[in-house]
Amino acid sequence: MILSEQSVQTAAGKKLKSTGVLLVIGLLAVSLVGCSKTVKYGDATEVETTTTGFGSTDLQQIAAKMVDSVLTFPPVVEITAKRRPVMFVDTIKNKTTEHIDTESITDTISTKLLRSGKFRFVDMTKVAAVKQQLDYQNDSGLVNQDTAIKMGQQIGAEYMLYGNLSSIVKRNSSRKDVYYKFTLKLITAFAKWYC
Amino acid sequence: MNMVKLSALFSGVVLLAGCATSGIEATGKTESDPEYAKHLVIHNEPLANAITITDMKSRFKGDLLEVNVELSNLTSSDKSIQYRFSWYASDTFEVEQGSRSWIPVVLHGKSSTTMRAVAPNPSVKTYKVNVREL
Repeated sequence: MILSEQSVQTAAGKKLKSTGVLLVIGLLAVSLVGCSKTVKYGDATEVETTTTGFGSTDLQQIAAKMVDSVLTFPPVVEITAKRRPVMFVDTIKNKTTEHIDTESITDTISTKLLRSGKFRFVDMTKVAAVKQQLDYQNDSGLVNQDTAIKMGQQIGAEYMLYGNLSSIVKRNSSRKDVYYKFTLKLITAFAKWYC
Repeated sequence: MNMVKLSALFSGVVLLAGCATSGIEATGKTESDPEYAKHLVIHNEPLANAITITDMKSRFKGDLLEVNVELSNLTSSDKSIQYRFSWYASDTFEVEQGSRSWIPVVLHGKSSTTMRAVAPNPSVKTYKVNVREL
């Protein structure tokens, strides 16, 4: 199953900033007048430092660096110069102590790779749905067989993308240091490398 | 690096009134006379006195544009800055808008670093990098 090149990922990160109303207790001890809270959209590409947890800046930075690394790796440049190999995405293991949606990282990476025009993808999570649709087209008797997509037309994936996300956390009484390490592996029958 | 050196490195230097969230904007083109291929706009003069773009290089890896922009800290203290690349199919037509986020960097005193990025697709012929204080 080939994803359409038209798929678009929008960076629709909505950052909610509540405009704080500073209450100076001494001055407003008697009466509180009209505290209104408003919600504002922020810039989704802004550096986000709300907490030390894995955030939008980490996600976008990791994805951009990994995609740059893959696309400029000389064997990949050579392979993708004349054709668009098919790739499938396996899981990214979350080895940190945080809850992180690693599928979101692979979604961003695979979308960027797809939109570079260098790779095509198969989506293994939708194999059953595709099979069901092909069965319907070929076996139900309801679909004009001149327009039905025949079985056995998919292109086999040559490469698999998978990896690990780990972190090193150190802290003392006043400071917490979090170091993230993301390893992306792209394997094929011919080569294996680490970014 | 003072303004004389900046002028020597880049064909056009424009000084504009600065504010805290603005910074330095550098544009690089692949298809033009090298003398006029780089253009620097300074929106924040105090920042430009402390941080400067000392080199801009680009090359094609396959058909994708790869860009290296060297950023130097002229002061002896650490500077926290952020930068963002944007990509253009021509001088004005932006492609894959929002595909690059602001990247935070700490520039140590009197040191330099290279901001590196690869264009999102082969249509990119012009790039822009914005640098501002964190």
